[in-house]
Amino acid sequence: MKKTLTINLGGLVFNIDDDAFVVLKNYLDTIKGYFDTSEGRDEIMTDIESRIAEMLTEKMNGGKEVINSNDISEIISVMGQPEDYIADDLDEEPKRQQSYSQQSNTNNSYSQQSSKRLFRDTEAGNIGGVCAGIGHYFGIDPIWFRMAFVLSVLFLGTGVFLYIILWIIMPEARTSAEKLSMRGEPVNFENIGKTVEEEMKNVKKKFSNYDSEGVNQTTETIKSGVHQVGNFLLSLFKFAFQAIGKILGFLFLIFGGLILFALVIGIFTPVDQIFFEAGGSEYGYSLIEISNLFFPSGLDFWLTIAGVILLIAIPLIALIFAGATMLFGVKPPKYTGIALAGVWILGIIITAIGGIRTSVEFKKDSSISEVVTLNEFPSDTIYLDIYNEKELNSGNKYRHNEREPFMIKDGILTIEDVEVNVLETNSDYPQLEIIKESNGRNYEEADERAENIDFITNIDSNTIYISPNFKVSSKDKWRNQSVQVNLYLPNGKTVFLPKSYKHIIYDIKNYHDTYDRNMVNMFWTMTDSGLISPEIMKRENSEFEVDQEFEKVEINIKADNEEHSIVIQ
Amino acid sequence: MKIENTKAQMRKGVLEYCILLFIKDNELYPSEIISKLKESKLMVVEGTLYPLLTRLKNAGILTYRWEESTSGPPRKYYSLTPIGETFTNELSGTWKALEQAVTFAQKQSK
Repeated sequence: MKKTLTINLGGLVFNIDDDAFVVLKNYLDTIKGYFDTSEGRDEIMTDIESRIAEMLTEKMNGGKEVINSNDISEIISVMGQPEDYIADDLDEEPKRQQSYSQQSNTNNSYSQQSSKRLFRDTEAGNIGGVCAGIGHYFGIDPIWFRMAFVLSVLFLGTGVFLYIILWIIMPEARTSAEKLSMRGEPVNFENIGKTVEEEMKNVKKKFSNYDSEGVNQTTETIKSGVHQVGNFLLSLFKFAFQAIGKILGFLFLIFGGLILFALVIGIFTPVDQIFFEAGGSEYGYSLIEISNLFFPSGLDFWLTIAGVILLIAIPLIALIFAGATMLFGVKPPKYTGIALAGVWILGIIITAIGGIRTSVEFKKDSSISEVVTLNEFPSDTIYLDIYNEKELNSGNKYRHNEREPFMIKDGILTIEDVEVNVLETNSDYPQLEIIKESNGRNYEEADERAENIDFITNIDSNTIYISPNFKVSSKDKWRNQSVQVNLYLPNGKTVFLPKSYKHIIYDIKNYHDTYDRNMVNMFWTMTDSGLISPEIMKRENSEFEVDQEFEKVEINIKADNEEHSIVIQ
Repeated sequence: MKIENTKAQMRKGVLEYCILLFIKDNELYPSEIISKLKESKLMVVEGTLYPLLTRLKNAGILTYRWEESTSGPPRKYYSLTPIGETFTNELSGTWKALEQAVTFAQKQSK
């Protein structure tokens, strides 16, 4: 029993069985593929169809009711194989012939086995036939893909970008075989299953052929049994690998596409709208503002940005290509790999140029130092505190937790890169050393920049106020400027480190090896053994259950040492 | 260079000329042209005739009229246009020259 279809050929109605229909349709489609619309394809096809209809009518007159594949083969032998159309059509480029013959060898030309591939359908398409091709591939009306593309254009032109990429990677369906495999059966699970089944059959067939060449009958049967199981597993693995490949390809496409999408958004966002939030700050800084501080010129900024974008985008595009190849089996154009690699190397070069031009600006570093001897300091104890304009101006309590790494306002860059250290001196008086440092293309430039650092300290009775930040004109740019404040204490003098110095003091060496952040809110006394905190000393001593007077520790260091040795004994 | 290509090229030029000669005398529809071509062994399969006729028609050399058929779809009866007639005459001249050239060449090779 066979299914019968009703077709209209040359204006006449015929009953044709399923197999014959497929053969006839493939035949007509194949021939159709050889002609361009410009050379009157439709007319030629109508003529051919009319002639076939005429011949079929003759056959029907013999009392037949249904056309079968034998009838169709007869008609094809009269009308000519598709190859014959090519042989007589020498205007066609020879390339087409070649690709056709290749296709016909592997694909058995217009037979029923046509595996589906992704092609651009330039005839049905509006622009490059991308949507029409995708539509053919999934067996869906291309209008949906067109709508998706148009919609995605609204997202900062992603659609245009994606369309161009697909245009490049999807080959155009030129030969009829390509057009056939483009229009072939829709790719769905049923068909995938069918393909696998067929493949397994093929492998089995191949194997039985191989076996028939074998010598020994008994081993042959065992062999074939074993091999059939083996083949089954083999094709199972093959299918599994293909499936994994498809999934990987899909993931590649999705990830590559998404990241590229993000990148495109990044590119199309006006740079002056990119803001960086300084921690806890009400101010935001635009990328332009920051890059002006960092890059020697706008050119360097754009070079570096363009280079970095290329460096990121090219591997993503490669990923999309790989994904498309794995998923749809489309091969990217011949020199895609080389072109991508070339552009990527260009990206490296551009980034390197921008980077080198910028890093040269940091080549030399220089520092200037200035020492103040505090010979009129009234007391033995020096209090350190934060110098703060706000506090001085308004009398408000200084809130030291609101620290900002840097701030730009009115062309002035405020940087919090001040380090305070406490060191020992042989001098009779405490000394305050301020070291301003900067980098530059050469020493002169670095020197000038260091000198331009606007840093405030203020000495008021027994307190030294040190600003937690310094100011630099944004014309000087950010060239790793920093300020180091060294307080030199003579033996026996004491300094008080306030709580607000938690992040300002840096690596102060002390007798107890206490960390910086634990040193604040304490008095520290300079001794022969380094800085000692009476408070910590008291705590440690009480642990050893030695009841010791505060002042005693402070004054008699030697005695203190002896006590320690006693405890150890 | 394939021998088939050369053969096909030779045949193609002659084929057009022969078709025009057939049509010159009387109106024909494709099947009739084909049976004549088959007799003269110039064409083996029918399908290739249709593109050729369409091309000649598009070039203004041929024209056709429809005629109802009892045994199938209506048929196109082809005839020569005035242009087609001059074209055919020109081809006749060319063919004579060719014939002479080929005969001469064949004699030379003997």
